[in-house]
Amino acid sequence: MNWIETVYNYSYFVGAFGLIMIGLYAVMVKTNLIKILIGINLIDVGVNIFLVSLGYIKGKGAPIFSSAKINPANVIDPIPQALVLTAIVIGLAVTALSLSVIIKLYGHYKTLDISKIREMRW
Amino acid sequence: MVDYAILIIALPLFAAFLIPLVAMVNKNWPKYIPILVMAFNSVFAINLLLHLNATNGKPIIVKLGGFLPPFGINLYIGYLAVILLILISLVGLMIALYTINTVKEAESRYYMLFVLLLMGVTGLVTTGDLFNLFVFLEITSIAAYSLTAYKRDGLSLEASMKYILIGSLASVFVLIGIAVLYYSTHTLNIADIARNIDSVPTAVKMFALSMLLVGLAIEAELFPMNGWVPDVYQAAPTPVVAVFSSIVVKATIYVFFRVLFTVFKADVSVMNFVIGLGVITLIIGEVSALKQKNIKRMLAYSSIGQVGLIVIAIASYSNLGVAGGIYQMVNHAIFKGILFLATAYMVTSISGTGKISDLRGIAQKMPVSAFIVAFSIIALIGVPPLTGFWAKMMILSGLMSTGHQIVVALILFATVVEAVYYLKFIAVIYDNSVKVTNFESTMKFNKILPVILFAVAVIAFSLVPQFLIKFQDILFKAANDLTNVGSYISAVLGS
Amino acid sequence: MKKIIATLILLVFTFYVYNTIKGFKFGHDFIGAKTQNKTISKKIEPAGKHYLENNKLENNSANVITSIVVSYRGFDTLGEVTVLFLAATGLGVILTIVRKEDDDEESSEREPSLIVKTAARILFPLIFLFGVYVFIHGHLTPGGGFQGGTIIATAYLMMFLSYSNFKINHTIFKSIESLSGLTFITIGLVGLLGFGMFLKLDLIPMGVFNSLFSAGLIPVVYIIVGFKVGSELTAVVDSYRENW
Repeated sequence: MNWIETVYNYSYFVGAFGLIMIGLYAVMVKTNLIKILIGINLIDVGVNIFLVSLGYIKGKGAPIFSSAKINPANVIDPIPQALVLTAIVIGLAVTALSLSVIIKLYGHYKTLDISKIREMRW
Repeated sequence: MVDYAILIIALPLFAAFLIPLVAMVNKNWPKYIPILVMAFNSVFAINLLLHLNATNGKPIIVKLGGFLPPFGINLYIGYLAVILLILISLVGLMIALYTINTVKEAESRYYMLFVLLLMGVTGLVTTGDLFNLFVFLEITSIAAYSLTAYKRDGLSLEASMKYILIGSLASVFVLIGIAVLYYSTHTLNIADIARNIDSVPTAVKMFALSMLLVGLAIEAELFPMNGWVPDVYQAAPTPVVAVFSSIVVKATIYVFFRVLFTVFKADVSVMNFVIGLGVITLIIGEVSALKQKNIKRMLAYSSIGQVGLIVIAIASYSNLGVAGGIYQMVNHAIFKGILFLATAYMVTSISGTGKISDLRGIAQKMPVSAFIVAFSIIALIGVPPLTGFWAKMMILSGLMSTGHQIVVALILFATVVEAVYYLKFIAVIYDNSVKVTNFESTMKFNKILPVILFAVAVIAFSLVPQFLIKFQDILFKAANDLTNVGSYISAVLGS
Repeated sequence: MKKIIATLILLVFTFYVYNTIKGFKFGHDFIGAKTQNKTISKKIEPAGKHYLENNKLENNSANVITSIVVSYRGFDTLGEVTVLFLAATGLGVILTIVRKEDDDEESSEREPSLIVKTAARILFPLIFLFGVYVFIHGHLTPGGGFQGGTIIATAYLMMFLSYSNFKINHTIFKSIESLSGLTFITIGLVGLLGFGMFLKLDLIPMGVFNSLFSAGLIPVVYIIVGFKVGSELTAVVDSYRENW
């Protein structure tokens, strides 16, 4: 059953990049500010899934040495998890800041449509 | 001494965390904290330069936490990083001195964001680790988003929203590039990746290169990813725009070329592509500045054009070209900063709206500021014997020696266009035929005093011959620091 | 029109990505390195392998990811704490609190029922305690400062949603936030002034492996980070609530 193994091998990458593509489509095409923000969030989630899935090693367990049987030869790579911790927090910070700007923009212009909020011309 | 170099990042961070507590004690004290921090940084950076001269150019490697590279994070401070550190601290000091009584809405949180923006830029310039670079890029970006939206009116919010959307895409692309690079080389240290990059398959290397370059080019204001620049520069408070244009852009250009030259060991086709991008940026920037009516927008397009010129110079990969590019970086940072602050001072004095036509004939009432503006413009365009002329000469001779004659012709064309709109601006200021009637000076003279002193100091330095020779010597060593990959690897991993 | 151009760009991007990713082996073992792969030359030592093997000697913490985040790459954690601090400050600047003086607007929205209020009051200390448990045991179980701080902020969010007039004292939260940040940098500076290395974290005795008082200063740093993140996110949620 070789094709099942191939599908299993690529499912994480396909899922991660699929999320990135959907998020990029939302950022490029949609005109509602909240939908664009959700698109950016989807891209962040996709990149984090891609980064975590790079550290997996088949058949090994989590890198927490809670019992004497777990030794460095049978755990997975710990670095991508540490990187994703930082990346998630940074994504959260940018989302919080952009939500506050959207709240104030709605208070000023009374609309969330990005094609109507274009005061500055060429 | 070498290990204490971390204080150039740790002390501003400490001061920024201290500002809310200080503001609770006394509302007027946080104003002076950026000035103290930047003064300390300037003295420290000059000390680092003397230390580098004394040890004959051996770069300073700070090992954080005591772990040896490549398994711990390390900072790499060579000649180019020291030049940029001195530039950041001194220009930051001048802008901090200007901000004290001129930005009316500034309160303790403004100064906190200001100090953290400068700290983020300092970290970008000194880091030696790829993920650490991403974290400092985010620190700089988030401080920039908040400072753009500081005035909270419709224009600032719209500019900030545009900046946030485009900036988030930049950080995502950089992160994808770092992920692919980590999977191929199993390490995150820049020197270690440079040592192992040859064993990575070409398709994967090109993918990681393109992702990282697209992400960094958005921050470094290259075409076609600089749509956010004119709007942000028009809407943010003017000292903040001076910081963006003088300091942040230079650091992101440095990061762009550090990744391109050291991590990826540049090859010729990529270099030609980057030169092409620089040429398009230069021409579109200068030509668009011709028909602008708003002062800050005109200066923003001029900044974009100069960024294009610097990128062409450094991407030519010849020693003279790279040294000329670094010289142009320093020149543009100092004089564009002075130009932004002086024009803001003039506009606020007449309570104007920021259009060029508001300043018609203002030289009759404010002769000193008008002279500073005219002098900075002449230094920027490149009239001999001021610094701009030598910088452009080095760039053009470097480009001729690598066979890019068409590029030289285009740069000369762009310089002519730049001279046209800048001289038109000087003519408007010095227009003596119109009587200025509604002039009430709301600003005291001592606000512009730091800018004047700084300009005088720079001019005095640039006319003393011995200083010029020593400066050119440091420039060539800095250019070597950027292009020589082998010495970078042996400095970090050999120690 | 815009949709067609966007779809075309995404198709080109997908093709480019496919060309690159098809060489990646998912789940391939490079740390054990029993079978040498042709693309990895012999002189590369994976950084993950070095961290796993030297963790017990240098850091004595059972959770390797915690020792990477706090000790080996502690400077990144300092940068991340700064990013959160920046976002909270930027938020406070943009959403300046507008005190709505009219109280009849408050009573027009529906008050949550008595069951919700009582249950929230019972659950609040339990969730708070769980958050504190998560960040104190960061070096023994999965978790740590950021996760524990978020759980604490969730407890406060629950109280905000259940009671329409629940108020917190902003001055106390801002002070906790600033003091935690100052303590983190002070720990780093103590290492610098005493031993010449910024963020050196084995200044207090290491203790017994896999027990609560082990791993030097790592649990202390995570407790500081937990308090900082908790107070910061609570202040952020409060700013949103007061401005809408």
